[in-house]
Amino acid sequence: MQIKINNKSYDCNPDETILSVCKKNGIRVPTLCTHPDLLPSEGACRMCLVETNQAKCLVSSCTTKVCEGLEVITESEKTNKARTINLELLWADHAGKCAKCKRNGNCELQRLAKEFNIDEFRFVPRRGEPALPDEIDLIKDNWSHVVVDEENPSISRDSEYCIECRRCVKVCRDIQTVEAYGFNHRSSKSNVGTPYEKPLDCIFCGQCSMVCPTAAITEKDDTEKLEQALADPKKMVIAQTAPSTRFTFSEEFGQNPGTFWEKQLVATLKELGCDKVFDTVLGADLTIMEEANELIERIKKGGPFPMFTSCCPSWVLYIEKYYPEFIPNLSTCKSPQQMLSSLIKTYYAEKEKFDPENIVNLSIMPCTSKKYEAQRKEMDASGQKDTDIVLTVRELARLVRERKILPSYLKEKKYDPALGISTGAGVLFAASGGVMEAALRTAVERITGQELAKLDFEIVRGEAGIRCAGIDIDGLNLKVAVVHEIRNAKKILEEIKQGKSEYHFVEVMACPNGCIGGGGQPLPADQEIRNARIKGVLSRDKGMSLRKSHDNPVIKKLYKEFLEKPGSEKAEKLLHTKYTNRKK
Amino acid sequence: MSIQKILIQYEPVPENVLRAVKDVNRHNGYLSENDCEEIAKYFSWPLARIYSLASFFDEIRIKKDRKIIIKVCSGGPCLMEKSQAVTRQIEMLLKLEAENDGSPKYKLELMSCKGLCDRGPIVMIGDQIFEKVNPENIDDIIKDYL
Amino acid sequence: MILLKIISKRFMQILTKNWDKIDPFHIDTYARSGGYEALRKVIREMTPESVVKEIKISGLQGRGGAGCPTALKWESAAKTKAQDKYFICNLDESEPGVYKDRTIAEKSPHQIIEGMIIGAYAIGAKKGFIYINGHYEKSAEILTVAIKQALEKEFLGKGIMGSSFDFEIEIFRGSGAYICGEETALINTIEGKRGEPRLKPPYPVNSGLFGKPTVVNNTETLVNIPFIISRGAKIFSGIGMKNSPGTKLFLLEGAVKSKGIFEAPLGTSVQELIYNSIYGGGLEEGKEFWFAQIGGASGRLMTAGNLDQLLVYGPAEYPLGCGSILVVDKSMDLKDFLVSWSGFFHRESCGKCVPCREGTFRLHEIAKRIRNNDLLPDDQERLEDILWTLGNTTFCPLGNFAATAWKDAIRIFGDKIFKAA
Repeated sequence: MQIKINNKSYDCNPDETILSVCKKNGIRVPTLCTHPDLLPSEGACRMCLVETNQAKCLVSSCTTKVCEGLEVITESEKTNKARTINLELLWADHAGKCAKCKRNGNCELQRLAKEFNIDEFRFVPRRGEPALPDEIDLIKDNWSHVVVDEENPSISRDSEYCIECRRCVKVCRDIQTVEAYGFNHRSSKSNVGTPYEKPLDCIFCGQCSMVCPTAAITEKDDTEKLEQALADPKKMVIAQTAPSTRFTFSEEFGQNPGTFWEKQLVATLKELGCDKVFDTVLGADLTIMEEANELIERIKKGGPFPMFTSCCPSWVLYIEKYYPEFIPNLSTCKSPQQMLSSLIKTYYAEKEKFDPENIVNLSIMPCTSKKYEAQRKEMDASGQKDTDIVLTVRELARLVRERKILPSYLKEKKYDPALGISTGAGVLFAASGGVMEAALRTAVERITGQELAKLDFEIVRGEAGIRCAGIDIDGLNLKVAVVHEIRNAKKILEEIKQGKSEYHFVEVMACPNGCIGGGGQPLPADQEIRNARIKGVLSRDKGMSLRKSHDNPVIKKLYKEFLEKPGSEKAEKLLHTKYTNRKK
Repeated sequence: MSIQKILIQYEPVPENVLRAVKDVNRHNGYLSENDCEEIAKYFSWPLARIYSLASFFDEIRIKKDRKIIIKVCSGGPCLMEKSQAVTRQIEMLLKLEAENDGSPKYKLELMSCKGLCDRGPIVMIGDQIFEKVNPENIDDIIKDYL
Repeated sequence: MILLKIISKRFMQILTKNWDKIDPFHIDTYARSGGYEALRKVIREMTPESVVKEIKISGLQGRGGAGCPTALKWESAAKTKAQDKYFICNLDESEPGVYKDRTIAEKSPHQIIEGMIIGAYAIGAKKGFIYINGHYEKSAEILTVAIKQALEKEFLGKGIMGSSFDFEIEIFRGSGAYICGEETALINTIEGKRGEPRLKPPYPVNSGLFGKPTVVNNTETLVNIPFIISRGAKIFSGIGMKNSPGTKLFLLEGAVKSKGIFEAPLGTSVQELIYNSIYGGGLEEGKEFWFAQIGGASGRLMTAGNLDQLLVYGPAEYPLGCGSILVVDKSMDLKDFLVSWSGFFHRESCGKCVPCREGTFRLHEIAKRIRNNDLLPDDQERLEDILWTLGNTTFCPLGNFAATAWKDAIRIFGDKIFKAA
C-alpha cells in the first residue's frame, strides 16, 4: 500500500511500522529506546513521536503500524516541542558530565541533545549519592539512588547515566536468554539493574554494552593498566590482535565497516610502545591443530558427541553455569588468545632468553568476555597469569585518540614474524562459521590424507542463527552445526537433551554473527554493519596465500621444535584446559 | 512457616507468581534474597524477573525496614478532613520532617488513597491502619503504638 | 447513606434498590430480592448473541471512567475465536476519593457475581477473575464467601443451572498500585509481570490475558447487568439521558453536609448533587463554596459558574470520570491540593515512559517549591512545559491525568499560585 509522509507518497507493507518506512526511505526520526536488533519496539522513550491524520494526539512511530490513507508529519512544531522537552528532562542527569565520560563523542543521548540544542540547565540532577557522610541522614526526595558496579572483570555499570531505555534488559533476555537484568522499582526510583543490586553475575558477553545508548553500561576500562605497563622500562609489552579486530578497528577512525586495517593496527600498537606485536590468528591456527586432532580422536573413540568449540569464553561460562551436564562435551582446547599467551611466556621467552615475569601480554579483543577469561584460575600454564591485559577495540581506540595518534597517517607495519604469520583459516575465526570452516579444512585433509579440491565450505556460512550440515568425508557423514547467539545455543542444547538432534561437532559463538559482533566492537552495530564486516573477513581469507592452518610455517616450526605433536603432553599442559560446574 | 510450605500451596503457573510473592512478603514482613531465589526456582523463572515484579509494588518490601514507617493519606477527602494538621502534629511529636530521611528511628511519608475515604483521615503505622485520625487523638495513637 | 426517594425526574433505582434487604454473607437474602433471576433467564431463554444484543440496546457504558460502550467490548470478544477466554471484574479502584466499588462488594457481592456470569456467558469465557484492590481485605473476604455459596447453588462451576455452560471465578488481589486499574496493566499483573500498560492495539478483547480474548469491566458496570436482563434494555435506556443511559453511583465528599454514595440518574447536574437535600444538602455550616473536583485526583476543577453542567458519559467539557465530587471550600489552601495531586501521580507513575517518569517527579518538585513559597524565577515556564509534555506525549493516560487538575488550577487560580503568599 501507499502512505504519505511529509506530503510525499511511499510504498510500504501492511505489517510495517511508520518508523521502519521512514528508515527505509532515509527520513530522519530520532529514537532512543528502539534498536534494529531488538524489535518489536515498546515506545518508552517518546522520542519518535509524529503527527498523523488518524489520531488527535502524537503517536510513537516505532509502534504504530501503517494503514490505508495514513498521512504522517515527522517534523512540526508539536513534534519538536515534544522531543525537546523530553530530552531536557533526560539531560538533567547528564548535563556537564560529557568531558570525562567514556562515551563522549559517541553517545546517542549526547548526539540528540546537540541536535535539539539542549544546553539550558533547567532541571537539577535527580540522581546521585550523598557526597558527605552527614548527608546520608538528610537524603531528600531529590536524590535517586545510584548503583555503581565494578565487581566483575568485564563490564562496568553506572546507573547515574541510565535513561531506562531497557535495551539491555531486552538483549539479555531475548537474545541471550540469561536475563541478568530487570526493570526494578517504580516511578522516579525505577532503574535498570540486577536483583537486589547484586554484582553482575552473567556470561559477560557485553551485548548489553553494545546496545546501551549512554555510558550506563560500558566495557571495563583497563587502559590505565596498559599505560602503566608501557611506562615501566623493565616490562616488555607483547601485543596480540584478535582475528576480527583488524576489520573493525578501522570503523573507530571513520572507515567503512569491514575495511581491512591490519597493517595500521600493528603500526598503532607499535606507536603506542608495544615491544612486539603478534597475531592471535596464529593462536587460532594452533587451536585448529589441537581441536581437529581432538575431533579425530573422539571420532575414533566414539564420543563424547557432540564436541563443542570452546574458544568463546561466554559460551563456556554459559555451559558451566546453566548446562554443566554438557561440560564433558566441550573441547578441552583453550582459546586462541590463551594458547598464544601461554606460548609467548614459555616457548618465545625461552627462545629469546627473556624473563617471562617481565613480559606483559596484551591482547586486543573484540569482546568483554576475554577479560574474564584472562583471569580464570586455569589460565596460568606459564606459571603466572598467561594473558595480563585485555583491551577491547573500543578501549584501544580511546587510548589512541587520547594519545593523539592518527592510525591512517602511520607507516604501515607488519606483525613480528616469530609468532605473527597467519592463514586464511585463522582469519575466518572472526565470523560465525569460521571456526567450523577452518577446522574442516584441516580435519578433512587429515582424515582423507588428500588435499582439498575446494577450500570454501559455504554451507556453514551465512546469517541464520543455526546452520547444520552433513559433511561427507570418505564415507563418514560428519554432522556439524554452527550456532550464534545464546538463544540459538539454548535451542540446540535442549534438542540434544531431548534426543531430537545428533551432531559430531558444533561451533557456538555467543555474539551475533560471531566475534565481529562482539561486545567490545565499535559502536553502533546492527545487521547491516555486521554483514559488511563479514564481507571483509571472507574477502581477506580468499586473498591470502596460506588458507589452511596446518600449512602455517610457524605452526610447523612450533610443533617440530617445542610441542612435538597435537595432543602431546606439552600441548596438553600449555594448550588445553579444564572446566568447573558453576551451577547454583 | 518455611518458604517451601508457603510455595507448595500454589501451582507453578504465572497467575500464582504475584500471589506467592505477596504471601511470602506477608509471612516474613519482606522478601529476602533467599526467598526470592526460592520463588524463582519454584516457578522456573529467572531471579531478575521475580525481583522486577516484586519491587514494583508498594506493599511488597524487598528489604527489612530498619525504621518504623508512618504514612498519612494524601488524598483529597482526607485533606478536607484536615490530614495536613495530623501530619504537622506527627512531625512535632516525633521531631522529624515529612518525606525526609532525617530521623534514625522513624520515617514519615505520604501515601496514596486506600479507599477508606468515608473514614478519613487515614494513618498507617507499619501494617496497622488507623481511621478517623485527628490532631487530638494522634498523640495517644503514637504513644500507645510506638 | 443510601436513600430511596422519587424526585421530579422520575427514575428507578437500578443498583441500590435492595441493598438494605441484603446480607452480604447470605446468598438467600439476595435471591429473595430477585437475585439470580436474570441469570436464570439468560441460561434458560437467551443465546449469547441475544445477551449482547440486549446490552447493546440498553446503551450501557463503562462505569470505570472511560465510558466505553459495554456491548462493544463484549461483541468484540465474543466474535474473536479462541478456546480460552477470560472475564475480569476490575475492583482495583485506586482513584483517590473513590470507594464505590468497595461499597458494592460489601453490600451486594452477588450482584457482581451475577453480572460476571452473564458477561462470561455472552462472550464464551470459562474462567473469570475478580481483581480486588490489595487493601480491601473485607471485600475479599465477603466475595470469597459469596463465590463459595454461588458454587453450592450451581450458579457457578460446571454445568451452571443444569446447562452446558461452565464458569469459575478466582479472586486475584492487587498489591497497591494505581496504574493497575488500567485494564492492560491489570492483565499484566495477573500474568506475573510488572503493572505497566501495554500497547493498544491489540486491545484486550482480541488479545488480553495470556494472549486470549479478555473483557475487563468495572464493578459498577457489572452490577447494572442483572437489571438490564430482568427488566429489559428499553427500560434501562429510558433512565438518564439518551446518549448516557442509566444511573451512576456518585460520591460526595469534602465540605458538603451529607457525605457518601448516592445513586442518581446520569444527566444530573453538579449543582443538584451538591445542593439538593436528598444528596449533598449544600455546604457545611460556615463554609463557602470554592471549587469542586469531579472524578478523583485526575478530574477537572469546577467553579461556581459551571455547576449547572450535566454529568454524562461521552464527550463533555467536564468528564464525569468515576463520579466522585470533592467539594472544596474557601478555608482550604490550594497549595496543599497541588502537592497532594502531584505527589500522588509521582508515586503512582509506573516509570516506563520518559515524560511521565521524569515529568511527575519535576511537577512534584515544583509543587513543593510552591508550597514552601520558594518559587524560582522561571518556574512558571518550566511548569508550562512539564504540563504540556504530560498532557501530550505520555505512553498512557496517566500523564494526562496528572496534568488535568493542574491546568485548571493555573488557569483559574494562577495569580494565587505564582504570587508569593
